[in-house]
Amino acid sequence: MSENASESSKSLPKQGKLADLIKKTASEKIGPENTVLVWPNLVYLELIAIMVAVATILFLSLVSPAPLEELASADTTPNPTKAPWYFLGLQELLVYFDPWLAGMVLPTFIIIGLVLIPYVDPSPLGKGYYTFKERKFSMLGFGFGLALWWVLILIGVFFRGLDWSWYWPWDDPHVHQPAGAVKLVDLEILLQDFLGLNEAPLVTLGRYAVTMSNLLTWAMFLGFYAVGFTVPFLFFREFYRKLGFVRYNLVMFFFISMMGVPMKIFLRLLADIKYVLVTPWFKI
Amino acid sequence: MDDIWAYPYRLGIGIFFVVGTLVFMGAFIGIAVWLEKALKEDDTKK
Repeated sequence: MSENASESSKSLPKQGKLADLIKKTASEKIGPENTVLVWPNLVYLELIAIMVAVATILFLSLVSPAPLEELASADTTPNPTKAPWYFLGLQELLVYFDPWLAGMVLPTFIIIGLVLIPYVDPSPLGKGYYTFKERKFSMLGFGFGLALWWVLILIGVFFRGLDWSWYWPWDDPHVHQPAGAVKLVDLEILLQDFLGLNEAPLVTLGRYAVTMSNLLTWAMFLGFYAVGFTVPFLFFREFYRKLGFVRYNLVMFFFISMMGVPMKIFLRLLADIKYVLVTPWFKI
Repeated sequence: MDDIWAYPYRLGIGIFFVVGTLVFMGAFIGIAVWLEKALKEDDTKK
């Protein structure tokens, strides 16, 4: 299997439609003498893996009971109220994004993005063997998202205390952090003050009073995506050619959105910016 | 000027984010590179 498979992957065209790639791969004859049977070779290994996993979970549940608390009471709401650990990453996102983004849009993007990976990735490299060298962008991109996910969980589990304030391990977890220590401001207000822009609306669309600084924030927000879509197209044309128009735009949309999450977090942390874009209907 | 290390720990949290993400990425990529090297002679590749 190995010889034929590697030769076929070498002779694959570097660009073209996914269907062509599949046809080309399928047309290479791989004789039965170079393959192994699914049963028992694969299924046996899977059975062993399942048994090891079940035994491990059984052992863990015996030595470490589930951290169940006392019966819930309407009189005493726990502070902080924490989700199960695997959801704490999302709960931590609520610090930086409104609930419709942190709880609905971002998780949906994550799920759709993950589901799309096999469809937007036409490369035969790395199939059947481990490689980093041949898949640098994919692995760094995925690794970054995964790392961000785990860092957010880590923060939620170990660094959030009373009132969802940040507590270092050396802070007293029973003492409230100072209230009102963070004074947040919207980006458009910041721009208005910094550039001395007029507060009067340029145009009013129903409830939406569009000011000069508001327009600027729109330009910056859309510009962020525009630059993200354009730069790889201009400087990494081979990347674009390999993916094709539709797949390139899908990949870049999810990639840019993913990069936007830590950027918004840093804008909030280091510049005290609450929203980068404000409309009467939604705020980002 | 405010003490940048005092609560709300802006800089500390920012550094934690960067370092934490890099450490996790390093671990993930490290495992991939290690597997790549360890299984190089594996006949499923070449």
